[in-house]
Amino acid sequence: MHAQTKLRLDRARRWFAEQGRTPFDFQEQMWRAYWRGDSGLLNAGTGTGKTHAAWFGPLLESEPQVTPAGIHVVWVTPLRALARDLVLALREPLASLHSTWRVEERTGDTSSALRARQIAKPPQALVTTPESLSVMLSRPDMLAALSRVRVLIVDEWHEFLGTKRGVQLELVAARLRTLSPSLCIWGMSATLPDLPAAMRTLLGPSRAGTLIRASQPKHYDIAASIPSAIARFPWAGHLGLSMLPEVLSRIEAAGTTLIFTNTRSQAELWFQAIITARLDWLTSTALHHGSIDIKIRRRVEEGLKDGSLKCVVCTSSLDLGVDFPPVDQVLQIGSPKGVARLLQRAGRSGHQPGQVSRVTIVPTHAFELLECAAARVAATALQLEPRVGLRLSLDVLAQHLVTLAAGGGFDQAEVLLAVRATHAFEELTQDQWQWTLDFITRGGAALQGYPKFRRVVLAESRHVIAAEDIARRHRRAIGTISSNASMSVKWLKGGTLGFIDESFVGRLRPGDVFVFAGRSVKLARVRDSVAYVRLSSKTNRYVPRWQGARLPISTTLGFGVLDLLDDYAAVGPSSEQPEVRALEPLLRVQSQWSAIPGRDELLVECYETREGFHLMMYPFAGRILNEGVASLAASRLARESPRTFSITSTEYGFELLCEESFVVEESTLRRILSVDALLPDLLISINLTDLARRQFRDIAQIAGLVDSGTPGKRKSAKQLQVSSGLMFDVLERYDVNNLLLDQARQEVLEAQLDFRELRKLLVRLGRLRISVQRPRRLSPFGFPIWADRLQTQTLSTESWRMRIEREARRLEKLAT
Amino acid sequence: MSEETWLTVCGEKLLLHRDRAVIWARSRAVIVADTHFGKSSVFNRHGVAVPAGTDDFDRARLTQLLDHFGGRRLIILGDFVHEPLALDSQEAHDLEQWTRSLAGVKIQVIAGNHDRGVSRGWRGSIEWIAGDHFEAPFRFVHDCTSKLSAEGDAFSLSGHLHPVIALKGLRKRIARVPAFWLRESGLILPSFGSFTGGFLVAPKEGERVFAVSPEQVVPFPLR
Repeated sequence: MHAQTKLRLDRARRWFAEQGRTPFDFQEQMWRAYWRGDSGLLNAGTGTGKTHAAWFGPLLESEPQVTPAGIHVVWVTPLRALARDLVLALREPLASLHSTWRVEERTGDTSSALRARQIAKPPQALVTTPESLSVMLSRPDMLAALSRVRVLIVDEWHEFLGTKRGVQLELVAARLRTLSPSLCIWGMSATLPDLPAAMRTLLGPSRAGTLIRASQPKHYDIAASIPSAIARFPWAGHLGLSMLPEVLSRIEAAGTTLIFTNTRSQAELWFQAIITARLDWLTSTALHHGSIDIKIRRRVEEGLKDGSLKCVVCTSSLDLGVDFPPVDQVLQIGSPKGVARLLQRAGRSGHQPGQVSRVTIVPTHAFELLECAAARVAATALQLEPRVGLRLSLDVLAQHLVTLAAGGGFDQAEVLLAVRATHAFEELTQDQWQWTLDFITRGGAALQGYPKFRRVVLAESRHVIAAEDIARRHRRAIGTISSNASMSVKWLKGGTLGFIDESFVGRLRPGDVFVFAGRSVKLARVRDSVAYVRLSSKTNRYVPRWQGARLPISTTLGFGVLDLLDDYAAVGPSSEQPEVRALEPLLRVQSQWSAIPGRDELLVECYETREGFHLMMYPFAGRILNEGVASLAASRLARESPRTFSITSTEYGFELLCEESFVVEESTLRRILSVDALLPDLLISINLTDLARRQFRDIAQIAGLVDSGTPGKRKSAKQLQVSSGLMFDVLERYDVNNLLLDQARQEVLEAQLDFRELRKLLVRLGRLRISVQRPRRLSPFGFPIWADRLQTQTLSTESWRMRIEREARRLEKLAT
Repeated sequence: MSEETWLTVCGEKLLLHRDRAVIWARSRAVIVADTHFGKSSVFNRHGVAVPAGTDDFDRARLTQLLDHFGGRRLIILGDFVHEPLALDSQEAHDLEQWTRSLAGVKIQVIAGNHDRGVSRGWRGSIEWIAGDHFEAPFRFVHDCTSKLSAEGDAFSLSGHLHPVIALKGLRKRIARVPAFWLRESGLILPSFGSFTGGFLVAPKEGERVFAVSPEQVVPFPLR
């Protein structure tokens, strides 16, 4: 062993020994790899000791008294809320190692005084977010501090992978490498199906890297809370709060509980229900979600740390990081949606290396029991949802180039080389590159008129920002996460509660009462993007709905459910999965009235009612893909003979409802599900322009065509306000070749319709046996789809529930 | 045009035109609000890329309206320009050319908040009116919520608000369309400029809203 390596290892081991521990193998592996000068990826979950694995390499590389000038370590985290905890964790070993290094954070929350000090006296390690790192690169005065970075560490890389923030990070890494050619890059990621690909995406496709896996796989215990009576005709949300007593007794029985919900409105609902049932828990129960004011969220996080809270109801806001001791139990309300997501949440319990992480799923819908069992099977086999890096996001590239122009300017040839070395842009064509340069220098392609446009100009063969006010506006707009238009909610007497969708407030009148941040509040008035409220004691109230709430289940999970059904068809009620056994009454009716699809089978049901002719299919591919297949099938059927369909899709299947009946034969089905001419037929079936216009919102913000207007912060200059929709219309009319419009259409196909997955699904369906069933009435599988359609057609919730319950009762009688 | 929406207000006939204009029949006037000429170049100057074309298009729409109805007057209810135009600017030059082409048409602008400071820049052969303008039986004003003049109780024609309404479409999709908003105190016009957005309005009971589609103006049913 190299003598120096041995010295360093000894220091590390000594420190661990002082803490009464010994380093894990993977930690030592990672240090050695780092000291060799490697880049790479560490596969380790939260609470496995990954922070020390990444930190001791750079920390012990030099002698204790050697303090590098400039920022030596840049540590990127996905959430700025995590930065503070990370700084504390990194500082912890400094004193006993006699290190003189300083560790600081720089995020959107950092004070301007500290930021100024960081320019004059850079810390040795800086914890930051991709957005803040970009902002630094846009400031010429930060370049000196950033020109000798030794290592870029990307925490929770899986969170970035497949998002535009990930693309931004790839570009930022490329820039840091240009500034400091000996830069190492290390990612840390939870388990993904293709870790080598995840590593290549971060490092750049042509760079070699070292892949290190934490030796101890975590153990998971996934179970469901099984309702005492199983409805054979369930619908989404039918269990509602009926599982509340069960949840209450579970909270009571454990020391600490985290309750995850899938939406913020669900979190508000459950929090209300819990504290209404147990008023004495008011001080030990809290609510945590992304729309609640950061100060309140911090207090909740503190409460989790100091043990004053017994139960926290939360959303994905607590999925990541935020270091607090493991809780005793994790409850998941409703569908887990995906395997990886469920494991992440489960990881909140038994956070320590070697311990078992437990999660209990509380179903809101009987079918979610199947998802629970499927998630367990998939987790044991480590079948997780794949994540693939995005390609050719020209909006992010345009933003990055303006960042470089503002941060001292760039040389076109040099940057093109660096950009093409990234995974996202390795296939960037000369035309696309030229268009992006034109976009930031002229506004658009050379032939189009953009009067008086100025943003980036060419000065002595370098591209530099045209004016300081443009640089300032750009820095404010950096960041690729777009949020829906939101309003802050404040007390009339002062103090902020959080943020809420503008569209929700738009439907309220002063005096209306709604639930927010766990409290019942009355809207007093709305002024300047602020909704002022006062406390209310009324009980008749709304729960706000936030946008983006409906995440589909993953195909991994959907097909897992299909596998379980196949098992059930084979072995019947003696399935080894308790959830499947619990669903036996439902599954039996399904097999009597229709059929249970096997893994090589596509179940199709058709029957007639007074409503018309129903054609139901069950691909089990998640709501988005099912909807894609449904629109395609409907439009092809309508082309064969003019008919009108109403389409309803759920996670498992879809319904096409038509006024008059028609003959459904296997050949018809093969034709409408064919993968041939998929793209042209799909484009006929959807309104692409309409969808692209919506998708453009995000792109317009990133490319700097509209100001995002960060909630709570000063809005953009009044005379520069424009909606992305209007911008889309103007571009479509006056600059039809604008590549950002292409990108919007591309993103609709890829991200929204999941075109590639849709194609794969159709290929798969083409290979399946088709089982056409003609039940005399709604089957248990068809019932939730019918209920879903009824909900969109019926005006009041009250009459909808009544109709559905009546129909469920009628079917129950027929089933006995 | 077969489907036209006429209003009779204070004994005067007003045509609500699908091109976001009001035609005042007796006075042979075309009335529009919020044209925001020069808006795209303001954006471009600040580094936000907006292609040219909307100004030309909007001028052509106005010319066509005047031709079609034999208009003798063009009344603009404020925010004629997005920002005052420098005398030597291309935008001023284009507007100058256009106003000259409208021989025999009297152009009046009720100065709006965006027109503030226009005295320092290009003014053209336009009658600029500060504050509001009374011409029986109407009061012409940019912002109907601003301070009232002596004829404050007269029925007002105004702009400023850029009213739009939300139409619920299939699958819960919402489309925003420009609208005329008829209140007891006056009529608020949708913004005319092609590069202008809108503000979602919440009409109260007793008020009426007319949605503007590319084909026609239709009364919008209020719940």
